[in-house]
Amino acid sequence: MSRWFAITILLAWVMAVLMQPLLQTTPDVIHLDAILAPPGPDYWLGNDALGRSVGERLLAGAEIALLVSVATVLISALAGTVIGALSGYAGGMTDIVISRIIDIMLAFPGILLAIALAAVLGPGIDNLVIAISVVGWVGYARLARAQALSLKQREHVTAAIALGSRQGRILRRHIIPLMLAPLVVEASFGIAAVIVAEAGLSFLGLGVQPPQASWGSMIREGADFLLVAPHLAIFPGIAIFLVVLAANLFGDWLRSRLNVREKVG
Amino acid sequence: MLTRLITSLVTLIGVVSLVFFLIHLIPGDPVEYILGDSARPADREALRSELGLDRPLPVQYADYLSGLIRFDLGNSLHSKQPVTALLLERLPATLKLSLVAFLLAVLIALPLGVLAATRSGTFWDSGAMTLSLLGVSIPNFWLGPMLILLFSLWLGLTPVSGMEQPGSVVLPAITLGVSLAAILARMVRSSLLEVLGEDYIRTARAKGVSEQRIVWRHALGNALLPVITLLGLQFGALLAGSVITEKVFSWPGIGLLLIDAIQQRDYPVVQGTVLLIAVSYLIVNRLTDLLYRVVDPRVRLE
Repeated sequence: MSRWFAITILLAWVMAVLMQPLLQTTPDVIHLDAILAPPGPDYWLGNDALGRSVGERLLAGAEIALLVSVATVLISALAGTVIGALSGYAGGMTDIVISRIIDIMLAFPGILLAIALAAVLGPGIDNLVIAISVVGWVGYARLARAQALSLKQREHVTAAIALGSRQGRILRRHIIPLMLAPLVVEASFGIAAVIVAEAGLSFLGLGVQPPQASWGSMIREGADFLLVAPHLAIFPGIAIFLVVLAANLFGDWLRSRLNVREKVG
Repeated sequence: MLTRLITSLVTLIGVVSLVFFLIHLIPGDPVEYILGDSARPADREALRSELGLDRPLPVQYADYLSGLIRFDLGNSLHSKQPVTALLLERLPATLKLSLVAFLLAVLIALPLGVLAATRSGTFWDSGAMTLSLLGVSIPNFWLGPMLILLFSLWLGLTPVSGMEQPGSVVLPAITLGVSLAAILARMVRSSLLEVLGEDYIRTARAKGVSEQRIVWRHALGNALLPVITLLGLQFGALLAGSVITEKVFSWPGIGLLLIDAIQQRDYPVVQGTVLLIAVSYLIVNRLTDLLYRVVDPRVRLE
């Protein structure tokens, strides 16, 4: 049941983003005659403090969340997998250096590093993706390294070496494909983590800048009007919560489906 | 033991250096960023030499390291106070918040995890795990405002923000503690389930020891061992989470200091705060690691 809930929410999210051009939404248009309008027949989910439609801004925020999470997960998973696999497979000095870097990165609380990076890089979507990716690749790298370490002992790899395959080919054809299952599971939890990170940074004013809508900045703006217009903060929060919950459920389902062991710690 | 100490030291130096290079190597000129485009060249030069940015990078780095040894993190650009003094002034508030959140999380997670493990497969188990999943998925920057709305504005039970009034720690601590509680509960459950399947538990059952005694006296102690490691790892998430929670509740700790410093582009304070959080996280992690070795003889033998 929970699997269908997750898939429905995730599909609805993607559909909402794809449908946007057809709906001709105007999330940034100000209606001064309808400031803080409550949800009702005229304004579907109400209006914010500038009279902008909360519903349309939610859709615009959905697009930002989708773009940032897909881009960040792709970049960090790809970079992490390659670096980690290389480290585990090559061994020696390469492995020592990369492992040290991974240790140092892991010695940072992730969101703190992202906050610091976003602060130094300055606001904007590109910098948001960079900041979260710089933090994000480490988890994939650690996972890929551990996988590569055990996979390189396997007979088919020994056979490939005996047949004279080159290193790059062995890594590409015989090692990386076999470690995809846990990485895919990690990536689906990664989507959830990135959405929270993007919204969190935007909440702090470090991510998406006004007038552009992000679920996180909508909550921040709404927090100033909690008493008079609680809908401003309630709706974007529900959106984040549902999508994150769906991504987590989907990850759980994938993990049991692909038979990946739950990592401890 | 010695090698572990050395790797810890290397990691520490790495973390300290990363914080330095974070500020100094990133493309873009901090002076430009602080003063904006319209600043006069003379003002830029003045700020540049005040920040010490006119010196070569290795000199700046050496200066930064030697300052660290003397606990000198420079002065705030905004208030001109030493960064160390600012941090010390704000630290107690953050410690109070994290400690209460931590205790709260343990008090929620332990019974929930035990309940789920001892009745695994039942309604109680799936109920507890659903609760835990909800807890992990709820972002704290939303939970905070919602708690304020419900308990402060609608019910009038708790203060909205700050830390002067009695009971003001309750909502921030819940906001910060919920996700930790959720993760811990899952961990307690899976760890306890594993231990309950071991031979010595079967032996205890065969001897006719009561189920309650088996869980609380025989199994729980061993089941909590791996949880200790997790607690160390989660401490960092707690510290970093306090940045957002403090912002939501205007809680005057180092998290709020960091956010204010970022908005004022007060680089020395940003650097000092990030450094303090990262170094405390590292130390706590290594200490839990050590503690784990002390309490679990199996690890010590390896």
